[in-house]
Amino acid sequence: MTERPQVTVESLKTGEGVVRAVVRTPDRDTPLRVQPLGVGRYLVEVGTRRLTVTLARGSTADWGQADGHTVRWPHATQAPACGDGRHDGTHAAAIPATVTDVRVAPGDTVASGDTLVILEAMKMEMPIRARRPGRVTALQCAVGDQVQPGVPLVELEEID
Amino acid sequence: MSLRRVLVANRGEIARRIIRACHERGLDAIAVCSTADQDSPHARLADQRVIIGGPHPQESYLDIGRLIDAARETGADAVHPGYGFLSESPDFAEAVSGAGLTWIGPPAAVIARLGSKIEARQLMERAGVPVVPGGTPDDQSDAGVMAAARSVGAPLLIKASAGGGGRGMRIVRDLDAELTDAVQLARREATAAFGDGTLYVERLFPRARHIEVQVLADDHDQVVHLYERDCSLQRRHQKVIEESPAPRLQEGVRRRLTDAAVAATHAAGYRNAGTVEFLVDASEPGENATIAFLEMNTRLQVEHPITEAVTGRDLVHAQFTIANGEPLPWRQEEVTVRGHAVECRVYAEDPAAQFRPDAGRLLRYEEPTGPGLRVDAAVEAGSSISPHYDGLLAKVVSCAEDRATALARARVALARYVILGVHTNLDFLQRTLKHTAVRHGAVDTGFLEAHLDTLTTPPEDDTELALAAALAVDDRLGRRRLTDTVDAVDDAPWTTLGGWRLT
Repeated sequence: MTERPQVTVESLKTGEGVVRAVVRTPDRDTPLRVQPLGVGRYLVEVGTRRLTVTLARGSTADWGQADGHTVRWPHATQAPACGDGRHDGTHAAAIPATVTDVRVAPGDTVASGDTLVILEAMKMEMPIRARRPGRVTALQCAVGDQVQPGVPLVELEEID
Repeated sequence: MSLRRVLVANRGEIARRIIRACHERGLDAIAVCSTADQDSPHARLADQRVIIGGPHPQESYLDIGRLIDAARETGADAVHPGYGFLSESPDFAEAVSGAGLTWIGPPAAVIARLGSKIEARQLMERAGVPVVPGGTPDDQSDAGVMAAARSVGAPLLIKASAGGGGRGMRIVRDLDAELTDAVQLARREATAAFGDGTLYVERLFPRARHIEVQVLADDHDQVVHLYERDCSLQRRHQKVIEESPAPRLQEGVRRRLTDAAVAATHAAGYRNAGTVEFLVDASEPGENATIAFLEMNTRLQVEHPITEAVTGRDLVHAQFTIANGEPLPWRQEEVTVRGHAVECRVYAEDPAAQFRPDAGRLLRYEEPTGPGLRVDAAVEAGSSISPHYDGLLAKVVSCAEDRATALARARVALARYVILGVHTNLDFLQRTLKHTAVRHGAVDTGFLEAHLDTLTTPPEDDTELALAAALAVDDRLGRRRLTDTVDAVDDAPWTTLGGWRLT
């Protein structure tokens, strides 16, 4: 991921409090808890995982590291609301979640951005939205299901 | 004649490691550096530093004349070459000795003899050390090398006598289709890289482990081995992770390896620290596994710390003792292995982009520490990684009472290691350590290449999301700090989101 995804910071209190944030990618919103640990260091809770993130600001790019994985965000390409290309085509949860609502049925035609499924995790709702226009060919979840990250929930076929 | 002032003809982590050993022995250490390295950690650690030339290695670390001048100017009485650069140059060893200085390594003639892979192979055959079945053709015409290849049979390797690091090497699986091209390509590559197109052929073992034995030899005919290191985790013939002792190695095979290494050391008339590399056939595990001499490295190895960790012996101190003409302070039966050690080589490179080397300034740098952990680093916070040199940032060495704990300790250390400003292979190393085959100690030298795809895939989504969230929160906190506003942020996002339930 070399572009900054759109992140909504929900609450931000002075001091050492936990910050709630939502990362918005084209097909879904993911809630996280972010706790400042020091200068450029945060404890991030996403689903059941806890990750220590360390950040550094450079003159041409910002850098982040979590669990040995490094990301470079170049300053020149601070594109808005662009997601990670790896999410292409998949409508899936980012973290373990429960299905609370299914808004579509097989055969339905949806527009880009239409809500397909609502998930709940960490006491927050996460809509899964259509990444592109299409027709629903299969539903792989039902209300009440526990779903795992990366497992497709809805399949769309392209329409002309 | 005891040493007093040692010039360390190297850079990076190995220069720092040798300078520290000098200080521990009460010796003055003189660093050499290129103009690109004058503020580097190794140059600052030494008692004196000499800027010997420009950033390109040919203008500095590979310039024998300048190095000898630097040693003379600073009153050095000994030179330690480290590894890489001129460490295996018989010309440099000769020049150092010729200038009346002590060379901390084997004599020039021994380096030259073992540097010729053909000569080394013939020497070992005569000494009864098992070598890889193959041929060293006297007829060095293409036809002569091809005839030798046909008598060995496929699959086979065409190798350069002056070779190393996989250069001048070609695999032939189909004699009719590939042999002619392979001989010509290997010849061209060897001539270009080493100025010597002499070739030989060896049978290729499709599944082999790379296991090497550390040896020390003093001036008093004493040869001691310090057991083995398994270096099977390689990528493009470059070692990535090494461990000692070798996992799942039968005691009888270990015994054959160490016996052969000691015999090889005697046969070569060796002095100081060296490493005898062997191939161990992984397709027939057990007591009868085939072992074969590959080559002898006439220097301290990158991976020497794992041997130090399990034997409790300091190899650089031993090198100084031997160079002083003193006998080794311990005998073979006093050298024992305790526990298990793993070394991970941390490089400035991007595994997601075909391991492209990276350069730049370190914006943030925090080394992991803890019991059983040793980090030999080339860099510090604020260091610049130069594109002129090998991208080895550090070696993370973990040691524990058993292998599983040593692997876990290395993995946790890598996860805690903060290096920001260049891409690194930290994630790749962790994935490799977690792999089932690695945890079971069941890998051969083909493992990393065969599993590159799974070991370099991007991490789970939530890692990326966590990074993005932390960056966004840091942005907000930074702005708040600057503007000193309180609580008056982030009303707007509510309008863009539906269905939030506050708790």
